Amino acid sequence: MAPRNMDSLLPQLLTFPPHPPPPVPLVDVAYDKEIKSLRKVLNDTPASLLTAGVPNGGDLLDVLDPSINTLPFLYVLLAHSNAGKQKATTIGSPLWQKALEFLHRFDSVQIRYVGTEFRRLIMFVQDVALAGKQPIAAVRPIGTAILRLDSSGSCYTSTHLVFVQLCLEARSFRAAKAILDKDIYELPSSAKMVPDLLCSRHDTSSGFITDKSELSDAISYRDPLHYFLYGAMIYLALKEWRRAILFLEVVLTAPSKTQASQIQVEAYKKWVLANLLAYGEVPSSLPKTTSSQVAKHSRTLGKAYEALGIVFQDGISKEHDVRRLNAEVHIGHQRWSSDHNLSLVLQVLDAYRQFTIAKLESTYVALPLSEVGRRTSPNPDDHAETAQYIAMMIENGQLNARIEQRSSNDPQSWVLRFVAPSDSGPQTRTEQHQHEELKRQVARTAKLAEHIRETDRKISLNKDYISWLKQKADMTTTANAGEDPAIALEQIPFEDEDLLAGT
Amino acid sequence: MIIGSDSAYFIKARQAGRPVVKDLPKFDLDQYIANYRGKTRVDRLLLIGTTAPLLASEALRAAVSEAKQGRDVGRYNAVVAAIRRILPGDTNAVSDSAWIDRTNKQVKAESDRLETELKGYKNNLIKESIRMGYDDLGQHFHRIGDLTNSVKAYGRMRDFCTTASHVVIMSLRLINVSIDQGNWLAVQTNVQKLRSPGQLSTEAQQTSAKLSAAMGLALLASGNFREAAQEFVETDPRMTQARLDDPSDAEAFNEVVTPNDIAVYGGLCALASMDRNELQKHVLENAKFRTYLELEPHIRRAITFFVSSKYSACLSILESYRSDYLLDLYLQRHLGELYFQIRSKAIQQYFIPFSRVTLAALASAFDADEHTMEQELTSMIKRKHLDARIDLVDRVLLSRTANARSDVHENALKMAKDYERTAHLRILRMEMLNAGLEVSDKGKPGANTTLETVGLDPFHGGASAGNWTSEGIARSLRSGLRG
Repeated sequence: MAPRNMDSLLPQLLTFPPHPPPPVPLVDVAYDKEIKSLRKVLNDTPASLLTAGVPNGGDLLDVLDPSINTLPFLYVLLAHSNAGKQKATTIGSPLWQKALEFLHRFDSVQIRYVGTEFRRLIMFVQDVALAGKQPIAAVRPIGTAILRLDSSGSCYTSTHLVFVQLCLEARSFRAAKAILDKDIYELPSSAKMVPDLLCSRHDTSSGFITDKSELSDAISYRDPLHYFLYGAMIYLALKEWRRAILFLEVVLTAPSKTQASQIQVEAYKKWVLANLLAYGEVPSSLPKTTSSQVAKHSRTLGKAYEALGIVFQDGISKEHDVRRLNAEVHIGHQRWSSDHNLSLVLQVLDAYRQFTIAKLESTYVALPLSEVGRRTSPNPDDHAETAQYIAMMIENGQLNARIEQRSSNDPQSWVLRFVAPSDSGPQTRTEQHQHEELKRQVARTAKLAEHIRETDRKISLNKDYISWLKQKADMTTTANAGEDPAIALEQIPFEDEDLLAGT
Repeated sequence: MIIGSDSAYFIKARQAGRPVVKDLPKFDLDQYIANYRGKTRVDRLLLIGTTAPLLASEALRAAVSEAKQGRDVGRYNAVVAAIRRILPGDTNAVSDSAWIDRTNKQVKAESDRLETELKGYKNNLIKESIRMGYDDLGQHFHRIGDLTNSVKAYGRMRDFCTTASHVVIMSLRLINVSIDQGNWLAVQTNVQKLRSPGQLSTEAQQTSAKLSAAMGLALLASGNFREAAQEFVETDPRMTQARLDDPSDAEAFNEVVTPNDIAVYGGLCALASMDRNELQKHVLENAKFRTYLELEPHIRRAITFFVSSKYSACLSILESYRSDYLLDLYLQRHLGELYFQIRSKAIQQYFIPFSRVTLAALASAFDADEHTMEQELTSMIKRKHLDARIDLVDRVLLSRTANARSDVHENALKMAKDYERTAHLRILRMEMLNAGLEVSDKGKPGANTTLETVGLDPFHGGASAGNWTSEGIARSLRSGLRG
């Protein structure tokens, strides 16, 4: 029965969870039942009652603790925001403060039962921040909320896209790393595949982020693509080229029924540039899993970028000076800037000099700075500038080398000497280092294996796969009539496993 | 009249990158050309005349009289044109129109006669006569320089060949024409055909030396020195017994190459492509090729020096014959590359036992100044012919030291990372497929982008600031969330 006044409502709100916690925690089934009945009460309570305030003065929000009474707190917050106060709410107002407090402290199990409301709150925070022209104010709270909901951060939700767009808008690229650095392996799954209760312990976060729990909005194919493209743009801004390339490749390898999405075409363009910046060359082919239509289509639309890449690579390998690349960049100026890639292209131009200097390492052990300048500097006679540029590269770890100053202070007499990475220099790797790196990699690979198993499990539950399996089983049983069909089913090799393992 | 190498023609040739030989070669022109017969004489004389200023007038005049003995008007005109450019005042610079008219008439009459004869044979349906008719026609076309028609005639001859020896004759004729055409692919196909197991007749056996020579030439022309060397060193020694001055000697192949040429070509190709052990085993200890090497003892000496690691001696012998080889019809174009490869191989072999060598020591060992040595080494390293690096400050060449253990670790890490990345991409792709999130647009490309933020350049404020309005973003965010 729905409560009519505060006196009857408040005790009901505080019954769950039991406080202080009982010595033996509730079993999952009981927990599930209790929280669902609390949710029902809240759903039946009129919003006006929630916003009314407690009898002896003060607001419900002051009485409730978001880390314990997560559900009531959230409902009251939303009731307030709906009561026409949204327009009035500004950054820093009491309601805003309460919303932030909630996002930082909510209970990560209870929240699973109120996905729709959770998303509405996220939207409220975002709207307020954008209306106040301070998108940055919403970045950290939403980021924290994503990780409180799912500490592994491995499942994509619609909130991810909201977050990364806010980061771009606020230009707070470093803050975005909190979420972007978590590898995403899953998308929200269909609840039918998850038999467990929402509150149970789940091996993977897609166990509770399902279409039923509504913790993520319905997703269209564009959403993850946008998320990864924007994520890549943030990494590009941070000059983390390799990570950016991974994100772009996720976009490029997305399955396609027909042709490439515009998002994939944009990703291809940036992918070419990012590869030039990271490795000084563009791989001869896209990742293997890219659908051929996407590859063809992106290539056609990204011809200018491919051409730029070819000029770059040719120039490095044949030791041309920078003039040809300059001309190429100049001709395409209009295109780069209308594609919003101009600054990346300009960075590619600078990278050209760095890669020509780095390439000297394959031929020389040591050479005078004046010689380096003659081959690579825009102004060969400015030895001081050359020295400075090389020093910068050494400092950034791009060159494993040192500058030897022989006797005088004149940079012309200085020498650039490359050193083996195993001896000294910024890229030094001792045995110890390598060992640790290997250990870290082993741990990462083990984790990856879990995700592979999970994906495998999901595939084995896939409708198409099961019907295929059945068909195959039928055929086998008719072939070996008289055999137990269950055994026949077990004998069928799981061919889809190869799809994942056979890299 | 002696032409200086500074005459206008040769200056231009040098600018165009064609070789110009300043020194006199070791051979005597008359003796040299006497070793050949047929059309190759004109070709060789013309090449010498246009390459070596000191021999130009002698060679070109000989070429004119040689050409006039034949019936190839086109070739005669080419020689006269060359004379006009190199020896403008010479009596031969004006083409002999009387001879041209006469020859043209003769050629025409001959062609007509052969065609009519052939027609007659065809009417009689006697296979052997038709074959001979085509054979005559092919030879005639070959003589007058109409190579395309010659190939055609020989090609038609195929249907009328009744015995194995006919096939051998036809193929050999085709090989000769193809060599003149420079159609090396056709040379190779025809040689392969004769070598195929079904054709192992005694006639084919007898021609094996010619086949090896032709095949070697074709491989040399395509720059495949290693296989060319293998062909040449396996050439049957019977050709050394041929009498070059006797046109009826079937063993002679001097309308194309002489046994001496085979020794030179084979020796140089082997030097350029084989290491010391292989040279010892396949060249010096090869009984077949030894007969040829005896004709050109200096090549044999050069190879022996190379095998015994006396590289500078070997290179100086080759260097002293550079002029001779530059005047050779088939070697000229490849000599630079051949010598470069021989030299770099020598440097490689020289460097093997060292971990560091001063550039000065290398330069003196290979008879070059330090600067050219440096450039040579640089280009070798870039071509990955030499696994070493140069210290331009201390002026030494250092061999690369590899840390195998650390390399293995590096590789393992790299592989693991690659695997991780590919697996990650695949997992996400599967997830998208599983969730039914496939790119599928109903409109044209580009229609599937709803967010106007796509492609924004977050690091380049100025140009794109206009699109970065909060309203735009807010609108797109909302449509993204609710839509």
